[in-house]
Amino acid sequence: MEIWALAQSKLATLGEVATGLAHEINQPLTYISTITQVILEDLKNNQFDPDRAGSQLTEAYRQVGRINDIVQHLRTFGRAGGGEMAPVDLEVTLDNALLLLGQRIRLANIDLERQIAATTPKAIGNANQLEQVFINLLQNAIDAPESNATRGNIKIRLGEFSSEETGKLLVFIEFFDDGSGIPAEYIDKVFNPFFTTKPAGQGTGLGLSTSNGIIKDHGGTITCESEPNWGTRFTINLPPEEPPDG
Amino acid sequence: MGNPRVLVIDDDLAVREAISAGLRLDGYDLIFAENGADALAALKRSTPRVVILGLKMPVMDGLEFLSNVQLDHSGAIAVVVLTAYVDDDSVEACFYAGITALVRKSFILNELRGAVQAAITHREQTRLLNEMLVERVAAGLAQDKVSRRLDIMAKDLQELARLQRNPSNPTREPSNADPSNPLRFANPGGTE
Repeated sequence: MEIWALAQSKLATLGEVATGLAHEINQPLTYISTITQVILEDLKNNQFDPDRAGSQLTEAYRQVGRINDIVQHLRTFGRAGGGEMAPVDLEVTLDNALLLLGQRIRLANIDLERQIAATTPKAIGNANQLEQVFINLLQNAIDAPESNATRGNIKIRLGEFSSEETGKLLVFIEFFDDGSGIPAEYIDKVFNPFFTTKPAGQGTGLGLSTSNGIIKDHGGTITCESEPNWGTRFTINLPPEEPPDG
Repeated sequence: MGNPRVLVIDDDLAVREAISAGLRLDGYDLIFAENGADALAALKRSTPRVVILGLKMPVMDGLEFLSNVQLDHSGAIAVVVLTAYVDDDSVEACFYAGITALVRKSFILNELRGAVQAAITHREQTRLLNEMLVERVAAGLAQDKVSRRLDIMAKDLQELARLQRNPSNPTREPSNADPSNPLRFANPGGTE
């Protein structure tokens, strides 16, 4: 997977999630700023109540954590994306992707359902690159609802299964949306570079081809099933972490 | 009249709590909604004097809420928009919809308190002006009614005068009353 393609994909992602991230940071900041002023005002007016201030400051500290999570994650997300393959907890990687996209999903009136199997093994991969894949798939799912739809649904499933062909254990993660679906004539083209069905200016056409490249580099597969009026499902299969000997 | 009721609409619990704490000392009766749809339901139950409105919300955002409420000049509701999003189009849409003020997040507390107080004052002044206007229009209509009544009486008197002059011809003559003054009509006594 070429680093420049991943970097392009990340840049596009940051551009698209910037508004949502600004909102995610501004909301806790509003709490912290307001509560600080309230406590200062109480002190000035000799109305300081230690119990009330204590609970307000506890909440303010929790809100600092909200901002910190986003900022810390942006720092790792912004890295070039190279690096070694290592055991990756895909649930954590998914959480990180949703940290960036959760607000967009909520504001788009999309209900998110997660089915995470409790015993899912870690996959072998690069967490940073896999997160970009999840983001690309989630962004497509966010944009999928019909223009006249008032609500949408995204379902994510994570688990393991035995391959019928090889008998080997694989980790899978599915992203399903009940949006408009992809016309049959386009299904074979969705992983081609620069192919997009989005209006001009709204998609680079690189997200799925980049994702496909990343997953191939991981020794995995990514497939797409779609039907109009049903939706679209992307399924990723990845080799799991080898269980420790003994 | 009780404490002024203020409806706070924001999808984030922390922001609603911050506004609640910030306005605590001003003695408002605060009620809350998580989005525009909840707020419309709340408006059916009670009418606040001021709405503090966030713009970016799921289910129904602030601009859609504004398009669903009549912010006409009757002064029924005053809206203070509280948002981090201040692009030109949103600002224009908000003020076009009739909001009273726009405060940016994160705000200086006294800026928000001032905006809410100003909105309440503005709403009261608008309401009083509307009441005065209605009274004046009603008085004007009543005056107009009296004028029309006097006009009819003048025409009757004119007809009586004509019959007095010429009792053998009961047919009504075309009116020659002075239209600008219903109390003056030409030759009321039948003599020059």
